[in-house]
Amino acid sequence: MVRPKHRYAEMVGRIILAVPGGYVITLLASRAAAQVLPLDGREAAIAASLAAWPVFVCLVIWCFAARTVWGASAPLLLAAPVLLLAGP
Amino acid sequence: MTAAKLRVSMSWLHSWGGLIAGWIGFAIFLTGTIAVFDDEITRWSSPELSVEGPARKRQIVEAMAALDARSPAYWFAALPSTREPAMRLIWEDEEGKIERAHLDPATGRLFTPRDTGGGAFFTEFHYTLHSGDVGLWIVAAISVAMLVAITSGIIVHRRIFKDFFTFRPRAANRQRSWLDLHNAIGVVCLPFIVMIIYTGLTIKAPTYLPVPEGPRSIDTKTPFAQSPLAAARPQSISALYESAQHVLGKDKVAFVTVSEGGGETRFVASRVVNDRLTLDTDTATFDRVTGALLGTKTVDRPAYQTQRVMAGMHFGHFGGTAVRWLYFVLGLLGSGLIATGLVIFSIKRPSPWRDAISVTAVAGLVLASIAYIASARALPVAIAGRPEVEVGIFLAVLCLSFLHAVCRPVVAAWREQAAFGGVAAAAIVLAWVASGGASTGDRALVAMTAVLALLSIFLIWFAMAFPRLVERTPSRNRAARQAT
Repeated sequence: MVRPKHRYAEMVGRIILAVPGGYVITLLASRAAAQVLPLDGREAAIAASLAAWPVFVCLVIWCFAARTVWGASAPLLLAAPVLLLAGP
Repeated sequence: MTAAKLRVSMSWLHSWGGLIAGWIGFAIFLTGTIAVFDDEITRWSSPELSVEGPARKRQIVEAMAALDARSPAYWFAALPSTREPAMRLIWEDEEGKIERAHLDPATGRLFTPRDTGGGAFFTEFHYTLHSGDVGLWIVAAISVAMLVAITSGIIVHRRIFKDFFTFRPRAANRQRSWLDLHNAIGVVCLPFIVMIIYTGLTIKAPTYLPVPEGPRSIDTKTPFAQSPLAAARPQSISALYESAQHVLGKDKVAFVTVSEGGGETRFVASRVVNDRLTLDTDTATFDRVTGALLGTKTVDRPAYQTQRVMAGMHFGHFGGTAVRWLYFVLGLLGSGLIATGLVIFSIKRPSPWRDAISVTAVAGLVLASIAYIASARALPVAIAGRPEVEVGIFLAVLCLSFLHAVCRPVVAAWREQAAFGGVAAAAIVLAWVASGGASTGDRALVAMTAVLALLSIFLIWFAMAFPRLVERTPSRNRAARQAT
């Protein structure tokens, strides 16, 4: 509130983390889930695509709820390497 | 992080995220709501589709046999149903050109209705914004944004249940009244809008979240169960149709496709989808020549079926007219939720450009939809590329609405566009009655015209009441309180 310029930069950062960032995590998570779910392959891919949307919504909410931008970027920084390893 | 801080950040997200999502979200919701009655709108705009009497089974079979004699390599027939009483036929002529016609299943008369996008335009617009794959992605992004706006809205309004019973239409603060209305609508249609947005996202999920090709990728091909039967003797179309009904159920055949490929001709019957929740099209495939049942498609894999049930819930074909009306009313409430949200934003933070976009996003969409429906029926039948002209009119009205909203003060823009829409809707109703629209005896079309009449009344009321509804200092209330 006190430093509007700083606030703008912070909001842009959060939007980038939430929208492209959230999408990338959702995509990686659904691909990883398609690999590891104990279902027939094609079934797993469909199940993962059904479960992905709440994940995306929660990620976006988190990016704006976190107190700092660093906190907002935590899922991206922590989950992305794990999901990349688990994914195809 | 304290709860109060969370509510501040969620309030910001709800306002700004809701604004951006609402601008396009209203168009998605309104056209999707109208699309609930897509076949009825097509019938309304093309009176010739209202055929004369009940379908006769003999006519249906004879029509298919005639098609088969004419074009044995490829033909398609959509059998008559309550919502599409005329039979739709597609076949290939001698030069391989695709021909189309409709058939009156009572008399066997072939005819070509006027060329119109009809109600299908609204279906297409609500998930692609009439811009193909780009639109598909925009709609998905806006859908997620709407889910985010809903979630943050619930966090902000923690007393959501109590708020539902709070409505202060005469509150001294107009923004308070609009907020009460926004909250009440939100609580009523919350389960529906969450369901409809989520299920909408699942329909095209493989496009949005592609999995690389491989054994664990999403299977978009038709799972097909082979069931080799002893080859029978050469079959008539009538006998094949009987066999198809035997497999899929009596009167449960919706489409028949005959096509050549791989050295054999296949007769594929597809089952209706309007009698159960899942939108899975079961098929029965026969060898056209021998009449042998080559296979059926009925899938019971759980994840696949779950996805098809999600699609079925989104389309709402499962419950007949009652569920259609329920979807229509809840869809209108969802549109109202977005519209009230945009008005609240305008009251809270006025800005000429943002307000003009909000007016176009709501009033412009209503006007464009009215103009589209009118042009689908009233444009001269002989115009070349008639469906494109209809869409052009829709988009032109949207542009005019924006120009008007930019030029006029915001309250005037709202009420003038609403008034214009009200008068236009009334004119359409009168023209429909005067041109004998009610004479076909199709009750759905009368109901649709009645909805247009109600819309006209609502818009004219809105145009008259709007300045009072948004005035910044309702002097009467305040003066009354000060007097006591």
